[in-house]
Amino acid sequence: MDLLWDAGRPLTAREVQEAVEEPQPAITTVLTVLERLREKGWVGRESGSSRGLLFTPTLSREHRVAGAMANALASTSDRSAALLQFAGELSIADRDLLRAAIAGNAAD
Amino acid sequence: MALKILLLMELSIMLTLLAPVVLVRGKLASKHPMLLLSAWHSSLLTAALALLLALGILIANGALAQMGSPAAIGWLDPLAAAILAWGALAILGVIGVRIWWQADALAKEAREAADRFSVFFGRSVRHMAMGRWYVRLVEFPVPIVAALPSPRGIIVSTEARDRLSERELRAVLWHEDTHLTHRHSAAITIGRLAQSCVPMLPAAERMAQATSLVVELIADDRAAAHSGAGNVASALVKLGGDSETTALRAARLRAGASRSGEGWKLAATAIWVGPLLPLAIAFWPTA
Repeated sequence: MDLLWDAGRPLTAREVQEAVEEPQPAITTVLTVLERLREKGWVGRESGSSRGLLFTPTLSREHRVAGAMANALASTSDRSAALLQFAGELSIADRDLLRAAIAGNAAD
Repeated sequence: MALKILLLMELSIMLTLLAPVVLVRGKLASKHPMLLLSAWHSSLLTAALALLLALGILIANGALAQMGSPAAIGWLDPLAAAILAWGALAILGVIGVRIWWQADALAKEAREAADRFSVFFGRSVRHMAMGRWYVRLVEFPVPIVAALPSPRGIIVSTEARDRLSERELRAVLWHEDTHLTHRHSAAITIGRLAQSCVPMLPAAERMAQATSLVVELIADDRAAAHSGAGNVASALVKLGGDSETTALRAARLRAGASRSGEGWKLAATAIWVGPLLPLAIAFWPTA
């Protein structure tokens, strides 16, 4: 998020990668983080430019704490043991298991 | 000695094959999540212990055969016993290195996450005490409530606080308190470690998945016991949005699915006698 704010203009994933200090992450890692930020609504994505997909922050710079939170959440896997979210997502297999259990309980 | 090795190997293989079949029953997870978590961990420990003891006996047998001891397996040629012992030692080495490698990767991931979240403990306001933990309120426009094992504490975003009534917030905090008090991050790490060490094994994959589910159900049940199932369910709906996961958990609570009485809690404890079985087989006196 800091890189996007600092740029003051939309950036491509490649530009974000080049702006990161050594050791630079792989372009796939940068794209994954940007996509996760976008899915959560903290980054916007524009297409149609000759430079490829462009990413812009949707949160203002004033929300630095919020930005740090957004970065931390986006960089932490949903299945990580480092963050146990109350309304976190479960795997498809676990949802199936839970759905079957509720159906079974209702049938009792 | 040969019979002991066979029994231990059989026990390890049987548990590895049976656990993903028996311990994936949805009703068991829904009604007795604590028992299910204990059963997974007990099965893992029993299977691992049986395998390690079998390999250990093979190594000891190779050493005894080399020394010409009559305690070694009589019908086994000393050369064959030595080859088996070296093979067992190699397997133990591979297992040890793999566990160390994967555990190191998970520990690094946990350290990095702890670093990312530690900043909030300086910037945010101490909001309220919840048992042994401080609850940190963070200005954030997305509803987030989460337990952090390191640094230990609970984070509540302002959006989550604003969406919940006082009773619902208290229920959510009980849920997160359960994760910290019961050290659920350790349970999840054990599941992920098993899965990353033997990714091709269905038992390890199912254990990792089941763990992430049952820790949530255990925390839901404890929160419901303290603050009422209705408050936990409505908080799940308010914070989960259109998530199917939270809708299912809320439906389970409203159906009163958990039946974990004292008897089932005792069963969850009793299941820990399982790891004694391979020890009994290995150290049973032989004529």
